[in-house]
Amino acid sequence: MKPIFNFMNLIGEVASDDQFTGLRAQGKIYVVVIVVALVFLGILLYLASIDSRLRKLEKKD
Amino acid sequence: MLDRIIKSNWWKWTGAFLVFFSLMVGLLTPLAPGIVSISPDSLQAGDSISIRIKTVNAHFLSKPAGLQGALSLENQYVIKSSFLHVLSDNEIQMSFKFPGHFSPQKGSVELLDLELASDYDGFLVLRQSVKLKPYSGKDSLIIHSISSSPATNTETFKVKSLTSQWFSFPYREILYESVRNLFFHVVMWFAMLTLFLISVVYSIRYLRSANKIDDIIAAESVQVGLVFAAIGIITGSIWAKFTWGDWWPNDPKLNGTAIAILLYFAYMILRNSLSEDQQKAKISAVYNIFAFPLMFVVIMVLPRITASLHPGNGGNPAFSTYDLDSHLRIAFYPACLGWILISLWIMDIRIRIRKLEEIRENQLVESSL
Repeated sequence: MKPIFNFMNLIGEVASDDQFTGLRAQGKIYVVVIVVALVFLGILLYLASIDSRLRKLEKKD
Repeated sequence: MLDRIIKSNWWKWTGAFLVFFSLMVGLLTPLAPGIVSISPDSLQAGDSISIRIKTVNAHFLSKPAGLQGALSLENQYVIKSSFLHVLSDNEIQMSFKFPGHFSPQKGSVELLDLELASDYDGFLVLRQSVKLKPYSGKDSLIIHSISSSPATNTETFKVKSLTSQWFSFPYREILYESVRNLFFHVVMWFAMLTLFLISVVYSIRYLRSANKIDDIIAAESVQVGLVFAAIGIITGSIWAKFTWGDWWPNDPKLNGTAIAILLYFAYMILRNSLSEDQQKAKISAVYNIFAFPLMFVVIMVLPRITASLHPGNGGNPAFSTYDLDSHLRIAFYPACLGWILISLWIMDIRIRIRKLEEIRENQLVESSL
């Protein structure tokens, strides 16, 4: 996986070795990216479920 | 008093700010310098050798003050570099004149630590990275095993205790940048624990008061807690894959968490399987009071007794200076508090919806009569 944009400018230079490919590239920063994205996604899905529950309540009127 | 606080908004915005703060500090702080690679990585006792070292995030060219390098064996024997040439901020050439008497026994190999230090970047070490082969000279009289002969030109490394002077997160092999997940994965579990604690408090309150609101609060906080547990499991699984090498390593902390989550799933199933309201509230409250200490034991106590990959377990103190350095704490504690407040915010919204639902149901019952 090639980096989408260069994180080096943002957070300093990181390890780039042969064993660091895919999500392990750039000092494993992409693992953090995925984790933050999943936290965000989880909260978002939960928000949607709460929204649908409120919608049901409104429909009972 | 508590009611007034819950109805106010300031704690919600405090939570949002703290999460934002931890996100910014957690993602923008650079990693401390570390040694990435060295070549050659083996030498022979009695040799003169030049080693090229690559580092990351270091400032050896722009801030060279106090720069020194050494090879050491278990911190007891230290050979300082005889010549040190800085090629760039992250590249150094070091020469060593290695004494022949400082040699492992014939046929065996010792692993040396490579150490670097400067005033600005602090202490960098790559442990057991240089192979030391035994002396091969003709004069067999000067060959001694390392353990029996003290090295002659040892000089203690004075900067050893220093960390880098600029604000950075610690450089750890295997973890590298993913140490930042501390603010996004670990905090989920603190939010979950807080919610389950609130739940058991309200379950006890329900048994004393038989007030329906107490039951609603207990049930809703388990609900929200399970969502945070799910996020924690998924993010933890990803982190484990790329550091420990497995989606679900057989670790007591993980298995304990799985048991705890099943315990609380059972709580939800128990609630849904009982139709009569008071019976449902009473039985689930009693179950909750049993589930909470059990959850605490399998998550917090048992992994601490057995060996675990998680820091703070297997006899190690949690939050030791090694696991959680002061720079990580600056973002970690606000992140914990922030996510706890956010989870309480979500819980508050769900409770308000539940209260409205109750009112609506009662109206329907009254109108049908």
